[in-house]
Amino acid sequence: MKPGKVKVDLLINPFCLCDRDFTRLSRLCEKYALKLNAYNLWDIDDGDLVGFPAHVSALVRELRSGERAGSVYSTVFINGERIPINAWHESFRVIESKIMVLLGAK
Amino acid sequence: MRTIRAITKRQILEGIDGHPFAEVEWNPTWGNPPPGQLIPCNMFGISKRKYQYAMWTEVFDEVGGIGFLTYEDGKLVGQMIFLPKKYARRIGLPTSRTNENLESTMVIGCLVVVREHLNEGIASAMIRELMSLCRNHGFRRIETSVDVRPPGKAEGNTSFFPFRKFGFTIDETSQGWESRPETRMCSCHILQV
Repeated sequence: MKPGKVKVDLLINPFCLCDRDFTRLSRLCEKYALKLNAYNLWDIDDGDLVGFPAHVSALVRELRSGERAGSVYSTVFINGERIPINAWHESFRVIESKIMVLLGAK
Repeated sequence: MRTIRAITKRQILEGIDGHPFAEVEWNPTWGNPPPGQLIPCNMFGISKRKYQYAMWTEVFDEVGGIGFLTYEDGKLVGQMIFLPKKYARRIGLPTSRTNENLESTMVIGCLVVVREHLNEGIASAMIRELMSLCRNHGFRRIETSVDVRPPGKAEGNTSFFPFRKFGFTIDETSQGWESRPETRMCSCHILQV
Protein backbone atom coordinates (compact mmCIF):
# COMPACT_ATOMS: atom_id res chain seq x y z
CA MET A 1 0.00 0.00 0.00
CA LYS A 2 1.24 3.48 -0.81
CA PRO A 3 1.74 6.05 1.97
CA GLY A 4 -1.18 8.07 0.61
CA LYS A 5 -3.51 5.19 1.36
CA VAL A 6 -2.68 5.17 5.05
CA LYS A 7 -4.64 7.83 6.89
CA VAL A 8 -3.42 8.87 10.32
CA ASP A 9 -5.68 11.01 12.51
CA LEU A 10 -4.81 12.24 15.99
CA LEU A 11 -7.59 13.42 18.28
CA ILE A 12 -5.81 15.53 20.85
CA ASN A 13 -6.93 15.65 24.46
CA PRO A 14 -5.19 18.86 25.58
CA PHE A 15 -5.36 18.13 29.30
CA CYS A 16 -1.87 16.92 29.90
CA LEU A 17 0.28 14.64 27.79
CA CYS A 18 -0.66 15.66 24.27
CA ASP A 19 2.57 17.34 23.24
CA ARG A 20 4.46 14.21 24.13
CA ASP A 21 2.07 12.18 21.96
CA PHE A 22 2.06 14.67 19.10
CA THR A 23 5.84 14.76 18.97
CA ARG A 24 6.17 10.99 18.98
CA LEU A 25 3.47 10.48 16.36
CA SER A 26 4.85 13.24 14.16
CA ARG A 27 8.22 11.53 14.08
CA LEU A 28 6.57 8.25 13.23
CA CYS A 29 4.63 9.81 10.37
CA GLU A 30 7.78 11.48 9.07
CA LYS A 31 9.56 8.13 9.13
CA TYR A 32 6.92 6.56 6.89
CA ALA A 33 6.17 9.72 4.85
CA LEU A 34 2.60 9.85 6.12
CA LYS A 35 0.42 12.90 6.55
CA LEU A 36 -0.77 13.48 10.11
CA ASN A 37 -4.17 15.08 10.64
CA ALA A 38 -4.44 16.51 14.15
CA TYR A 39 -7.70 17.61 15.78
CA ASN A 40 -7.74 19.33 19.17
CA LEU A 41 -10.79 18.56 21.30
CA TRP A 42 -10.66 22.01 22.84
CA ASP A 43 -10.99 23.69 19.44
CA ILE A 44 -13.79 21.52 18.11
CA ASP A 45 -17.28 22.94 18.40
CA ASP A 46 -20.19 20.52 18.17
CA GLY A 47 -21.35 22.25 15.03
CA ASP A 48 -18.03 21.53 13.31
CA LEU A 49 -18.34 17.78 13.63
CA VAL A 50 -20.25 17.27 10.39
CA GLY A 51 -17.12 18.11 8.45
CA PHE A 52 -14.89 15.70 10.36
CA PRO A 53 -14.02 12.09 9.55
CA ALA A 54 -16.86 9.90 10.80
CA HIS A 55 -14.69 7.97 13.27
CA VAL A 56 -13.44 11.20 14.83
CA SER A 57 -16.84 12.85 15.12
CA ALA A 58 -18.42 9.68 16.53
CA LEU A 59 -15.84 9.48 19.31
CA VAL A 60 -16.16 13.19 20.13
CA ARG A 61 -19.93 12.84 20.42
CA GLU A 62 -19.63 9.80 22.71
CA LEU A 63 -17.15 11.54 24.96
CA ARG A 64 -19.17 14.73 25.20
CA SER A 65 -22.43 12.93 25.89
CA GLY A 66 -20.84 11.12 28.83
CA GLU A 67 -21.75 7.74 27.30
CA ARG A 68 -18.12 6.70 27.09
CA ALA A 69 -15.77 6.71 30.07
CA GLY A 70 -13.10 9.37 29.69
CA SER A 71 -9.37 9.81 29.99
CA VAL A 72 -6.63 12.40 29.69
CA TYR A 73 -5.18 10.58 26.71
CA SER A 74 -5.22 11.41 23.05
CA THR A 75 -6.40 8.92 20.45
CA VAL A 76 -4.88 7.81 17.17
CA PHE A 77 -6.87 6.45 14.23
CA ILE A 78 -5.14 4.46 11.51
CA ASN A 79 -7.46 4.27 8.53
CA GLY A 80 -10.30 4.82 10.99
CA GLU A 81 -9.26 2.14 13.47
CA ARG A 82 -9.01 3.58 16.97
CA ILE A 83 -5.85 3.16 19.04
CA PRO A 84 -5.95 5.02 22.39
CA ILE A 85 -2.56 6.22 23.55
CA ASN A 86 -3.04 4.86 27.04
CA ALA A 87 0.12 2.86 27.61
CA TRP A 88 3.42 4.46 26.86
CA HIS A 89 5.15 3.35 24.93
CA GLU A 90 3.35 0.14 24.00
CA SER A 91 0.63 2.14 22.23
CA PHE A 92 3.19 3.45 19.78
CA ARG A 93 4.51 -0.01 19.09
CA VAL A 94 0.96 -0.98 18.14
CA ILE A 95 0.56 2.14 16.00
CA GLU A 96 3.83 1.56 14.16
CA SER A 97 3.13 -2.11 13.56
CA LYS A 98 -0.29 -1.23 12.07
CA ILE A 99 1.35 1.30 9.77
CA MET A 100 4.01 -1.18 8.72
CA VAL A 101 1.43 -3.84 7.92
CA LEU A 102 -0.61 -1.41 5.83
CA LEU A 103 2.47 -0.23 3.96
CA GLY A 104 3.81 -3.72 3.53
CA ALA A 105 6.98 -2.58 5.25
CA LYS A 106 9.39 -4.96 6.98
CA MET B 1 6.69 23.82 56.46
CA ARG B 2 3.78 23.13 54.12
CA THR B 3 2.26 25.72 51.82
CA ILE B 4 -0.49 25.37 49.26
CA ARG B 5 -0.46 27.86 46.43
CA ALA B 6 -2.92 28.45 43.63
CA ILE B 7 -1.49 28.04 40.14
CA THR B 8 -1.13 31.47 38.60
CA LYS B 9 -1.77 32.62 35.07
CA ARG B 10 1.91 33.34 34.70
CA GLN B 11 2.68 29.73 35.60
CA ILE B 12 0.19 28.59 32.97
CA LEU B 13 2.05 30.61 30.37
CA GLU B 14 5.62 30.11 31.48
CA GLY B 15 5.67 26.84 33.37
CA ILE B 16 6.29 26.09 37.04
CA ASP B 17 9.72 26.48 38.56
CA GLY B 18 10.86 23.41 40.37
CA HIS B 19 8.32 21.14 38.79
CA PRO B 20 9.57 17.56 38.75
CA PHE B 21 10.89 16.69 35.32
CA ALA B 22 10.66 20.30 34.21
CA GLU B 23 12.03 20.75 30.72
CA VAL B 24 12.82 17.07 30.40
CA GLU B 25 11.80 15.31 27.23
CA TRP B 26 9.76 12.21 27.89
CA ASN B 27 11.98 9.16 27.76
CA PRO B 28 9.98 6.28 26.32
CA THR B 29 11.85 3.80 28.45
CA TRP B 30 10.18 5.29 31.52
CA GLY B 31 6.86 3.84 30.44
CA ASN B 32 3.96 4.86 32.64
CA PRO B 33 4.85 6.42 35.99
CA PRO B 34 5.21 4.27 39.08
CA PRO B 35 2.62 4.72 41.84
CA GLY B 36 2.73 8.05 43.58
CA GLN B 37 5.38 9.56 41.38
CA LEU B 38 4.71 12.76 39.54
CA ILE B 39 4.81 12.19 35.86
CA PRO B 40 6.67 14.53 33.53
CA CYS B 41 4.00 17.17 33.48
CA ASN B 42 3.39 18.39 29.98
CA MET B 43 1.13 21.10 31.29
CA PHE B 44 3.74 22.80 33.38
CA GLY B 45 6.99 20.93 33.14
CA ILE B 46 7.72 21.41 29.48
CA SER B 47 7.91 24.78 27.82
CA LYS B 48 7.47 23.57 24.26
CA ARG B 49 3.74 23.08 24.70
CA LYS B 50 1.48 23.83 21.78
CA TYR B 51 -1.92 22.59 22.71
CA GLN B 52 -2.78 23.68 26.23
CA TYR B 53 -2.30 27.42 26.28
CA ALA B 54 -5.67 28.54 24.99
CA MET B 55 -7.63 26.12 27.12
CA TRP B 56 -5.98 26.83 30.45
CA THR B 57 -5.93 30.58 30.10
CA GLU B 58 -9.61 30.58 29.17
CA VAL B 59 -10.49 28.35 32.10
CA PHE B 60 -8.40 30.47 34.43
CA ASP B 61 -10.08 33.68 33.30
CA GLU B 62 -13.53 32.18 33.79
CA VAL B 63 -13.03 30.30 37.05
CA GLY B 64 -10.25 32.25 38.69
CA GLY B 65 -8.02 29.21 39.05
CA ILE B 66 -7.12 25.85 37.57
CA GLY B 67 -5.25 24.15 40.36
CA PHE B 68 -3.11 24.04 43.48
CA LEU B 69 0.49 23.19 44.18
CA THR B 70 1.68 21.90 47.53
CA TYR B 71 5.19 22.64 48.73
CA GLU B 72 7.04 21.08 51.66
CA ASP B 73 9.95 23.25 52.71
CA GLY B 74 9.96 24.88 49.31
CA LYS B 75 9.89 21.63 47.32
CA LEU B 76 6.93 20.88 45.07
CA VAL B 77 5.37 17.64 46.30
CA GLY B 78 1.77 17.68 45.11
CA GLN B 79 -0.47 18.99 42.38
CA MET B 80 -4.21 19.22 41.78
CA ILE B 81 -5.73 20.39 38.48
CA PHE B 82 -9.45 21.08 38.06
CA LEU B 83 -11.88 22.57 35.58
CA PRO B 84 -15.65 22.95 35.21
CA LYS B 85 -17.49 19.86 34.03
CA LYS B 86 -18.65 21.54 30.82
CA TYR B 87 -14.99 21.76 29.79
CA ALA B 88 -14.09 18.34 31.14
CA ARG B 89 -16.82 16.90 28.91
CA ARG B 90 -15.62 18.98 25.99
CA ILE B 91 -12.18 17.39 26.08
CA GLY B 92 -13.29 13.91 27.15
CA LEU B 93 -12.05 13.72 30.75
CA PRO B 94 -13.67 11.21 33.10
CA THR B 95 -17.01 12.58 34.31
CA SER B 96 -20.08 11.16 35.97
CA ARG B 97 -22.83 10.05 33.59
CA THR B 98 -25.56 10.65 36.13
CA ASN B 99 -25.13 14.37 36.67
CA GLU B 100 -25.74 16.91 33.94
CA ASN B 101 -25.18 20.05 35.98
CA LEU B 102 -22.24 20.87 33.76
CA GLU B 103 -22.01 24.55 34.67
CA SER B 104 -22.03 24.14 38.46
CA THR B 105 -19.87 21.02 38.78
CA MET B 106 -16.11 21.09 39.14
CA VAL B 107 -14.04 18.11 37.96
CA ILE B 108 -10.65 17.21 39.38
CA GLY B 109 -8.63 15.91 36.45
CA CYS B 110 -5.30 15.42 38.20
CA LEU B 111 -4.36 14.82 41.82
CA VAL B 112 -0.87 13.57 42.54
CA VAL B 113 1.45 13.50 45.54
CA VAL B 114 5.05 12.38 45.26
CA ARG B 115 5.73 8.96 46.69
CA GLU B 116 7.81 10.05 49.68
CA HIS B 117 5.01 12.33 50.89
CA LEU B 118 2.06 9.97 50.57
CA ASN B 119 -0.23 9.58 53.60
CA GLU B 120 0.71 12.98 55.02
CA GLY B 121 -2.62 14.66 54.34
CA ILE B 122 -1.43 16.55 51.27
CA ALA B 123 -4.24 15.35 49.00
CA SER B 124 -6.77 16.12 51.72
CA ALA B 125 -5.39 19.63 52.12
CA MET B 126 -5.81 20.32 48.41
CA ILE B 127 -9.32 18.85 48.39
CA ARG B 128 -10.19 21.19 51.27
CA GLU B 129 -8.83 24.15 49.30
CA LEU B 130 -10.89 23.19 46.27
CA MET B 131 -14.06 22.84 48.34
CA SER B 132 -13.49 26.34 49.64
CA LEU B 133 -12.93 27.69 46.13
CA CYS B 134 -16.10 25.99 44.90
CA ARG B 135 -18.09 27.41 47.81
CA ASN B 136 -16.91 30.92 46.95
CA HIS B 137 -17.39 30.62 43.20
CA GLY B 138 -20.84 29.04 43.00
CA PHE B 139 -19.85 25.46 42.18
CA ARG B 140 -22.21 23.05 43.90
CA ARG B 141 -20.57 19.72 43.24
CA ILE B 142 -17.13 18.18 42.77
CA GLU B 143 -16.46 15.04 40.74
CA THR B 144 -13.36 12.99 40.17
CA SER B 145 -12.28 9.55 39.09
CA VAL B 146 -10.91 7.27 41.80
CA ASP B 147 -9.64 3.75 42.21
CA VAL B 148 -12.16 1.86 44.30
CA ARG B 149 -9.70 -0.75 45.52
CA PRO B 150 -8.39 -0.52 49.08
CA PRO B 151 -5.71 2.09 49.82
CA GLY B 152 -2.31 0.80 48.87
CA LYS B 153 -3.66 -1.11 45.89
CA ALA B 154 -4.56 1.90 43.81
CA GLU B 155 -1.26 1.70 41.93
CA GLY B 156 -0.98 4.75 39.64
CA ASN B 157 -4.59 5.82 40.17
CA THR B 158 -5.97 8.32 42.65
CA SER B 159 -7.35 6.48 45.67
CA PHE B 160 -10.88 7.06 46.97
CA PHE B 161 -9.40 7.14 50.48
CA PRO B 162 -8.76 10.91 50.82
CA PHE B 163 -12.17 11.77 49.36
CA ARG B 164 -14.29 9.58 51.61
CA LYS B 165 -13.85 11.69 54.72
CA PHE B 166 -15.13 14.76 52.87
CA GLY B 167 -18.43 13.07 52.11
CA PHE B 168 -17.71 11.93 48.58
CA THR B 169 -19.70 8.92 47.42
CA ILE B 170 -18.96 6.55 44.57
CA ASP B 171 -21.15 6.48 41.49
CA GLU B 172 -21.11 2.79 40.60
CA THR B 173 -22.75 3.49 37.24
CA SER B 174 -19.92 5.68 35.99
CA GLN B 175 -16.56 4.14 35.20
CA GLY B 176 -13.84 6.75 35.55
CA TRP B 177 -11.00 6.07 33.15
CA GLU B 178 -11.84 4.18 30.00
CA SER B 179 -8.68 2.10 30.21
CA ARG B 180 -8.96 1.42 33.94
CA PRO B 181 -11.95 -0.75 34.87
CA GLU B 182 -11.09 -0.47 38.56
CA THR B 183 -11.99 3.25 38.56
CA ARG B 184 -15.34 4.92 39.24
CA MET B 185 -16.47 8.50 39.46
CA CYS B 186 -17.09 9.88 42.93
CA SER B 187 -18.70 13.15 43.91
CA CYS B 188 -19.84 15.38 46.74
CA HIS B 189 -22.19 18.32 47.02
CA ILE B 190 -20.91 21.66 48.20
CA LEU B 191 -22.96 23.68 50.63
CA GLN B 192 -22.99 27.30 49.52
CA VAL B 193 -22.06 30.12 51.89
